[in-house]
Amino acid sequence: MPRYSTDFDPPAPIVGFTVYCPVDHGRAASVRGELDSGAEISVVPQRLVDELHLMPRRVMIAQGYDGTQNRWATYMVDLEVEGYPVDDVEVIALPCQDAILGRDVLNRFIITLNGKGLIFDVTDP
Amino acid sequence: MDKPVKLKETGATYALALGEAQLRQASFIIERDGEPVAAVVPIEEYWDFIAWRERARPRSAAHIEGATPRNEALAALEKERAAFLCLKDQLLRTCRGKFVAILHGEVIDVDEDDRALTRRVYAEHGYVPVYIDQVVQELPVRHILSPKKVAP
Repeated sequence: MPRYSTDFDPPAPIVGFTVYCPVDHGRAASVRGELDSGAEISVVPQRLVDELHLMPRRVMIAQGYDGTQNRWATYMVDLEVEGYPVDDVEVIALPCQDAILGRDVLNRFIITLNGKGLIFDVTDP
Repeated sequence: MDKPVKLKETGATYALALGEAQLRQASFIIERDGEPVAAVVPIEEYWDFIAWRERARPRSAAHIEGATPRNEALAALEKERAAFLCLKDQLLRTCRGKFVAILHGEVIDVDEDDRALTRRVYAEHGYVPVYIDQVVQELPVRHILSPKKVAP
């Protein structure tokens, strides 16, 4: 089972995954992302939009923990998470280093978090 | 120089004696009692204005700044979004709840399935900034609620 990343304090369940341009899987980038059941939508680092030449598709209003709302362009991407393909995922791009896998992606898997043992598992039976 | 147009009271509403061809070719200043109160501009100029206004609005760093390919794509999307907003009342009557794709200011496709529509539009029109959205009265708000610690 993967271990929690101690790059974060407190340690966090982080997975490496691949982001694909939906029309050309030759345009792909690897990124790491935090499993975040508090997020309704997934987030990718903004640099991926440039690297993969992603096209914006619509505008979405996203609200943060403090109630602040911002308008963001969204992008459709395909993902590969722990070896499992997840197609047609709508993401927003933020100027961050790491991605966030929100419930839109997490709900397609069985996620087991063992915080006490600092290990987790992502499966798709 | 924009042409002044005098606004006259005609019962409960105002009448504008302009043809569609005139409206598409020139801008007009609307006056009331000799004072300018509004302007009528061709729709293309209006979309350009909306796109410019969105670019000019101070926002977070993720938004449009400079002429990078990403920002050009965002500016193009804003233009299509402006067209979507102009068409929204009409779309609410004809395809409420469905997803529509807007390109060059026009609806190019409609579907109940967002993902199928997106795939089809990209296949038929290329991977370009097409505005694809659901026809609903209010834009839903998505939540990203997890607070993060930031190093001091």
